[in-house]
Amino acid sequence: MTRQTVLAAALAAVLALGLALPAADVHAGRNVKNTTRTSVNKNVNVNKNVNVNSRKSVDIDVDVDRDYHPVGTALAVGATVAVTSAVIGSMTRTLPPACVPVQVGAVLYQQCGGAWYQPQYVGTSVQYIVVNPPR
Amino acid sequence: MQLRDDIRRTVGMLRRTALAAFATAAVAGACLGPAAAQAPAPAREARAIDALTAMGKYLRTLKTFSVSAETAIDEVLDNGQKVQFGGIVEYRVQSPDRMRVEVRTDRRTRQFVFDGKTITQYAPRAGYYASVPARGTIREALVLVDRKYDVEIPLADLFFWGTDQAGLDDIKEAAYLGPAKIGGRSCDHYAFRQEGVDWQVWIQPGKQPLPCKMVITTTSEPSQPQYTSVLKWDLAPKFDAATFRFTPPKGAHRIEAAPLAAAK
Repeated sequence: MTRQTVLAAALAAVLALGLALPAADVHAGRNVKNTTRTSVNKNVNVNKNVNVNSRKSVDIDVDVDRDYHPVGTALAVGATVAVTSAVIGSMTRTLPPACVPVQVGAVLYQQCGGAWYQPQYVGTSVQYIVVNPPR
Repeated sequence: MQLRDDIRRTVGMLRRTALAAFATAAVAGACLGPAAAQAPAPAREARAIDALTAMGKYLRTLKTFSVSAETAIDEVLDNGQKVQFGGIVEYRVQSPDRMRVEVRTDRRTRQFVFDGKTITQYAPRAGYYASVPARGTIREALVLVDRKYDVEIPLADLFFWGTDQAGLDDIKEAAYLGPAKIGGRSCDHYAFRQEGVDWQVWIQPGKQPLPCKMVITTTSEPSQPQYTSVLKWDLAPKFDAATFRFTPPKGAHRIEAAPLAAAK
């Protein structure tokens, strides 16, 4: 095997890995656990709040911080490739670049190449579900 | 001249040493003397519980107010590192069922508008809003969005104190720590402990016992993250008809709010 072949194989492996991972995982180091309580009397809801660990993690820069996205550029290549392999029903907190908002009936979608995402609130976070093309 | 300076220095030094020795003796005396004979303070000091009760009672008398809080929240990153974000929380309130809340941190901005029938969450930068029906009081709306949609609006305690859901029975330890200055205001400092959370509140003394500051420490987390808020009150705010009505700004899109799996 030449050095070039090895490098190409390594690059392919990295890309394949990028495809397999959901986009949100790329942010793993900057996810927060969202367990800090902002009121004392939260536990009036006994059913839910006893299990603090069940609370999902929340990406700290999820809020479409268009003016602040330090890893955005680094992600661009992998994310563009990932569009083709978006799994229907999976959720992500970040969209691939170059999406177009499309209103179909009462529902707003983000169309990103061939993939369609439907935004929704999960708690106070905006998350995107990969859906079948609505039209 | 030289000699006199030396003497002055020596005398000064001796005086300081004597003062220090006296102070040490006084402290030791205080510790070993009367204090040792005293019974330990009760776990729940009545004074602290009473102050909390009085504050709650007063809060419930407020019909119209706005409160603006400077906040600092610790967040724990996946790698275990604790970081802090600054922010503000602004409540505009007309009891019992009108509320507009603005929550801004360095990373996230949210608005919540409750008009007595519907509560709306809006993310101005993303341009998304979600509305769900919520009838009843502000407190009931806060419980609903927390329980059903996992939406925790900060400082919800302001609407629980002074009700039968104030959680006073959950308090295991309560103490009065003394007077304090919060941004130039004189406030009394209290500390409380309960399951999963240690918390402190500074309360304005006198006829308007409002909270000046709060610190909430989540003790159920190993790194014990804290939420700090310093509150400024306006008891005679001016609101207009639009204050408690959510009108989608141009370009805003309505999306769904996913209910918690258990609440479906």
